[in-house]
Parts: sequence; structure tokens; C-alpha cells
Amino acid sequence: MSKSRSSSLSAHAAALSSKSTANQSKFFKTLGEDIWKNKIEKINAELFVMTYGVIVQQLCQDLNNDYIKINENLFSMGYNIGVRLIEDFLARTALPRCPNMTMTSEVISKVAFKIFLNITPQIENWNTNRDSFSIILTENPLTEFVELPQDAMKQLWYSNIICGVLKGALEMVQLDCDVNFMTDVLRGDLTTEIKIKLNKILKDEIPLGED
Amino acid sequence: MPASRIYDHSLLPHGKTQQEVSLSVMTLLYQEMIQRLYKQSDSIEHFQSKLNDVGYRLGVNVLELLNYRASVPVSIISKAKDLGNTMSNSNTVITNNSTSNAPTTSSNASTLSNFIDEFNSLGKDIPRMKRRDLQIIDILQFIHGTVWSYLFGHVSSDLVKAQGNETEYRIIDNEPQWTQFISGARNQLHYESCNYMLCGVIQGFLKESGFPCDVSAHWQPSDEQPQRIVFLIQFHQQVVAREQLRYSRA
Amino acid sequence: MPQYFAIVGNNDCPLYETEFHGVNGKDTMPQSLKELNPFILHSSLDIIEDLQWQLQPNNRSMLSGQENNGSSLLRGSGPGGVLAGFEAGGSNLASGFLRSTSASFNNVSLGPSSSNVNNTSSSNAATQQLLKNDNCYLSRVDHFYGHVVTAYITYSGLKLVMVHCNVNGVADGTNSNNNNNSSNSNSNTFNDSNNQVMVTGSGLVSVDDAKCKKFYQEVHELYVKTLLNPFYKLGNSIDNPEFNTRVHLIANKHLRAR
Repeated sequence: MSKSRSSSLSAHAAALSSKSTANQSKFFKTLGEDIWKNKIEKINAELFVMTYGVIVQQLCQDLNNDYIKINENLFSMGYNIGVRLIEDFLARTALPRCPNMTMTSEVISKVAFKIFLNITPQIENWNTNRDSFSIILTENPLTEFVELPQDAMKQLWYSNIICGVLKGALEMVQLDCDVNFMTDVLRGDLTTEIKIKLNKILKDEIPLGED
Repeated sequence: MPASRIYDHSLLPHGKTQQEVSLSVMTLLYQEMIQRLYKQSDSIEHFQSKLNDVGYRLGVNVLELLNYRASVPVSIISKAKDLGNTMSNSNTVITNNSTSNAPTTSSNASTLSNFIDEFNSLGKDIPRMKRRDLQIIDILQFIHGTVWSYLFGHVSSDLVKAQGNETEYRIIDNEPQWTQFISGARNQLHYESCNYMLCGVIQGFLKESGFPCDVSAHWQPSDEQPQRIVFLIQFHQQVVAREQLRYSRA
Repeated sequence: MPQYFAIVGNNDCPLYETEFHGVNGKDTMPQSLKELNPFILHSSLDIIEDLQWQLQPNNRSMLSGQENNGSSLLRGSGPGGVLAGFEAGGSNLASGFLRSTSASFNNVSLGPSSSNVNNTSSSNAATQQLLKNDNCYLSRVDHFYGHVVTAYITYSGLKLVMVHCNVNGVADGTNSNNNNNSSNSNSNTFNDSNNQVMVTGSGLVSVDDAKCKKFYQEVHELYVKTLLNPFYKLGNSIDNPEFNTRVHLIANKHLRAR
């Protein structure tokens, strides 16, 4: 039953790609909320936050507070998670390939972030080519309770795992992107911003989500 | 230099709009952590103790947080809940029509600051703190009930005292949530080891509250529960001695 | 009056310490006392550790039978002094003595004489009600030449301890040391019938339990928030300046006379 429903949704999504952005946006919002509500097994966010906190803390210890290396480690952990999480994502949403980055950005913010972290970040700062945009995390569940030590303020991207996840997941749908943090409220910035820039569309692999 | 944010947070969970995340994200994070620790370890014992360390801190956090929350009077909790709901509702309103309504935004902001003002400091409004647990059975019941519910949304499957052994207790989980999707767990020892984070949680909770003990995980499948894990808690002698000295019934 | 406050971790190492003075410098702490404070505090740790495991640490004098609370746990626990004697072994004598002194603090009478209680912020009955069944806030645990020590224990066994300093001259030794129960009982009250007037400064420093308890509960809350920060390492000293600021704000709110 849920299968036929999702396939009709995906047909809907395909049809939508030609429609106005406003409609698209509304559609993805409803889709994300619907999946979050009905199809996601949930756990206590605080537990997740604390577990992540202990992981970062351990990395600091293992890597002797070398924050550059810690960033890299968090990114690669995220990457590994991303390449697996995308399967989960495609199975739950049954969404087809996005035809452009505008739609990709909508799916990331309104569906992906929604169904995994239950937040809907804003999309801003498009460049003129429309292949680069920013995700503004108005709330970031990972940083609840967190305060960076002085010496980490300038170097550590505490939530860098998210960039890794996005990188890994996008790569699995043939989008080779640069993903990195621009600002973080933990460092004293006014916003928390992740920038995604499309490098190229990978061609040599079998498209996912179709059989 | 940014102002400190952590002290502006309410310890109540309702100050934020979002209280849950997806289980798949948590299990993937857990697996990733396990793999990293496994690679770093030179023996299975080493791996277990590293995972135990991660859990230990979690156990201490949970010990202070849940007991403190349990001290907050119901009236304040429900008030916070209401205000929290108002906040998340008005959040939805904002995202719905983000273009044209400054009034909603500002009212939301004021609700948020109300929340901060009202619930940032709970300590002054608590008539009496929840009692510290002094006896083995009380503290184990707190873990079996409150802690398990917090972590997994339900109480643990069972809490058992070993027969003829004053120092041993068991907490049983028929379907361990964090490890149910571990694909790399090929054998018993490996599967048991992956559950050592929870051993650490239990140990951290007990040890820091004055009940030093060792905790180990044992795979004891039954026909219906192939993943059933038994957490064996062995209290150090001093705990049992204190208990007998102070609280044994004449 | 000034206070010396410390958070003591497991292994008796201090995680945080500070002093509270009045705003306009009239409550300053003499240098001699500054040096003494850590010792006063330290010497009370044994008592606190004993109280930590008592079922009713605030029922120090009136335990024997009449308080039941419907709790079966109470039965057989017996007076704290006996237990302390059993367990402490070598330090038997000391803790027995301390038990009896600290017992005197809460030796409140509920009879007719309580009507004589001076108009202070909390009556004895209210104080008793306030402390009943609480085993985080331990109220007064010890005293030393008029300086009073209060304590509070968190769920992970941190000890929050405060020395309420007597700076208005050295206390009258007879008053504070010879188990003069009626005069020591709740130093912030008069007991006219005995015609022994306790004045702040001539005996024990007065402590308002209601306010003191709130102070501790709020600082406890700050500690929980500190602990939840993954960059705070368990058992390390708390050097976050914001923590310090907030502790002082809380102290001003609850401990300063207005």
C-alpha cells in the first residue's frame, strides 16, 4: 500500500519538476512532513546529540586537539554515513533524480533534513549559475548544550559530519559537490551556513532509484 | 568572543521545537563510531573498554539530567510544554508564509524569550529535589524504568537479582536498539562487544552515584528474541557491605 | 556576612571555589579567614560523606520512631550516630561527636515554645517541612568557631559546600562548642523562654535554609548544564567565566541580605 502511494508521489514529483518553484517547494514540504510523521522510527534527539558530543570529545582526545584533523575525521565519518543514508532516503521517499540544483536544494532542505533530523533549514545565497547555494541551519540539533573551548573557536567545525553526509549522499546520486561550512554560531558567527557547490555531474554509473 | 550559550538553555526538553531525530541516523552514527573504535583497538577487550568509555560519560550526563528533571514540579513542566508547543506552532506558521508577516516573527521571538526567562532557571522553583537513590534496588529501578525509557522509549525487558549472590543483578533487553542493525557482528563475541556502550552508560550512572560496579554484556538468545542481551551488573563488595550495614532490616 | 563556596568532586578535589562578599565591600573576608576556609571545608567532608548515605540526613535529632512517612525504608535504620559508629571504625569517636553537634542544629521544638519564635524569614516548622525528605540539601553539617558549614550533594556525588563566615569577632567558644542545644538550635531564632539570646555574630552565623537551598539548587542546575557540554571533561575544574558570573549572580540573589 505504501509502495503504490510512494510511486504515485514520485510520478507527482516528476510532473512537478516542470511546475513553478513555489508549488515544488510546497510539495516537498508536505512530502517531508508526511514521511517524518508516518514512516520514520524516531529516537530521543538529546541522546543523539550527547552521543555525537562524546564522539567529538574522543576525537579531540585521540588527535590531541588537532582541530584540522578532527574536521577531516568528522567529514569522513559523515561521508561513510552519507553513502549509506542515501539508500535509506531513496527507499523512503521514492523520489526520482532531481533535474537541477534548485530542486536538489529543495529536496535536501525540506525532505532530507526533515526526515532525518526533523529540521528544515533555509536555502539562500544562490550564485548566478545556480550551481552553488547555502544551507542556513537556523537550528542545529547537534550543537545543543555545546560550547567550544577558546582554542577551538577559530578552527573546529563542530558539526562537520553534516558536510560529510551531504557529500557522500550527493555523490551517490552522481552529484560531485564541494560541501563545507562557511560560518557557525558556535564560533560566534551570527548564522550557521553550509555551502554546497556543484563541480560536475558524474556520468559513468548506473542511475539510482530506477530499475 | 561569543557570549556563553549553554547557560541560557532550559534543562527542560520543551524549549526547543525539535525533540526527536530519525533512528536510522542514530544507528548509522553508532555503526560508524564502532568501526572507528574497532580499527583503533588491538584486542576485543580494548575495543570493549573504548566503547565502554564512550557510554560512561553518557551515563553520567543522564544521571544528573534525568534526576534533575525529575525534581521539577509537574505544574512547571506542563506550563513549559504549553509554551513549547506554542513556539513550534508559530514556527510552522513562519515557514508557511515566510514572506509577509513580521508580526508573527516577532511574537515568536517573544515567546522564545519568555521561555528562556521562565524556564532557564528551574532551581529556584523546585520545592524539593528528587531524592538521591541510596539503595541498590532503587537505583536499578530508576535505570530499568526512567533511563531506559529516556534512551529507548520503553522500560527494559526485565530487571533480575541473581539467586544466591548479593552482588549480581541483570538488566535484560530483548531487542537492543543500537545494535540491531549491526551487520559486521558475525559472531557472539563481536555482537556482545558492540553492546558495551550501554554497559558504559550503566556503569557511569552507577559508579558516579556511589555504586561502583562492573558491567558486561551477554548474548542469551531465546527463540522469540534472537538478539536478547543480558547486562550483568556486579557490584563491588563495598556497596553490598554498605547496604547491609545501613539499611538491612532488623 | 561573606561566604566561601566550593564544589568538591569525587576524590575530594575541588572543581570550583570562590568567595562571596557584599556589594559595597562591607562584607569582606579577613585574610586569616581566607586561608582557613579550605581547611574548615575539608574537615567537614567526612561528615558530609556520612550524611550522604543516611536515609534521612535532615532528621538528625528527631529520627527515633515518631517520623515514619509511611516509608518502610526508614525502619531499622536507627539513629545515625549508631550507624556512623559502626562504619567509621577508627574515626568512631569523631563522627559520634560531630553527629551530636550537628544534631543540635535541627533540634527544633514544635511545642508551645515555637510560638515564641522570633519573626524571622522561616519558622522552625516551615524549615522542618522544607528539609523533610530532602537528601540533596543537607543544611548545616558542621561548625567551627561560629563559622557554619552547609552542604549539598548532587546526583553524581559532587559536594557543594559553603562556609558561612563569622566576621563579627571570634565566636564565644562556650556557646558554639559545648552542645548547648537550646541556644544552638536554629541560630536565626530567639528562644525567649531560656533567656539565651542568639545574636548573629556572637554565636553561630545565621543561615536561612530556604534561601540557601535555592542557591544550591540553582548552582546544581548550572553544573548540569556544564556537564552536558562535551568539552567539559569529567572531574576537571570548571573554568568557564560565565559559570563564575552566574554563580555570583545566584549568590547575590539568595545569600545577600537586602
